[in-house]
Amino acid sequence: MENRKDDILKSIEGAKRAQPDPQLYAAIQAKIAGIEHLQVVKRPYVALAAACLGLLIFANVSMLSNKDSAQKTPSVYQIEYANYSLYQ
Amino acid sequence: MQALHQKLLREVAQGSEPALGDLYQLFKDRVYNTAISYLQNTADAAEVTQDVFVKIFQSASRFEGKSSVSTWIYRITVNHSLDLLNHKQRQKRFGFVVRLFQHETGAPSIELPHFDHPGVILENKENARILFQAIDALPTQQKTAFILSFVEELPRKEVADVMELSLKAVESLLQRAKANLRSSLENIYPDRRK
Repeated sequence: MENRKDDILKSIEGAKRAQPDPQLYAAIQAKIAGIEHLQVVKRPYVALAAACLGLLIFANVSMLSNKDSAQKTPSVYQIEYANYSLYQ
Repeated sequence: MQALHQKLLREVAQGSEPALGDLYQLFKDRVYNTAISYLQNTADAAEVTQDVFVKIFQSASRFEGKSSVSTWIYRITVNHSLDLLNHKQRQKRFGFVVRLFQHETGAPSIELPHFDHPGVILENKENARILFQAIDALPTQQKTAFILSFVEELPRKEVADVMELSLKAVESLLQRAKANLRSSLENIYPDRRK
């Protein structure tokens, strides 16, 4: 029995290495190309985020500048008040 | 040879696909043979081999040169093989639980792997099939030490480098692996006692 076990334990001695399918490298290249493509596709989202931020800043600046010009124009109430100065 | 491996890896780190191709030719059999010894089927071994070389391409720039290129590649191969093996074992356990509840008699069905290593000579095929069944049942560290030492036939020093263990620790793992394999051979085929 011990000889049998020894035979089994030695059965892989001198075995040649298993070899992969010759097409495997093409699959590896395709996988790498796919990963690189994914990395390129992610960048437009950065551009979109930057555009949204720019739009937000522009909207805020526009709103602030509109507020300034509004203060220079006399209000309706001021005009009404001005008309009441008839007896001077 | 080590100088060539390092030169190729430096080129891969710069994005050279021809250099990756050269590295692939040098290491494909080692990677595939190691993976197939863990997973014991060609499809899974092919998947691991693909993942290893993609990882090499992505991580080449992070290779620090503290070990040889060969050791580094074996380490990636072992890690990927173990990851897929653990994933498949979790799936198998879940399938076992489902079968446990569905089976009418209540007796669990366990499939033993049936793997013929393509590199083993014909007269040793049957014995090698039994051996790989027993290897499959080894604890992870013993399995790794055994596969690298006796299937890949790496020097003990390189096995220790790949596993990041001392030489003594590797020798201890190999002793225990052989004892466990002998014990498994009794359990798998008890009729052989006659």
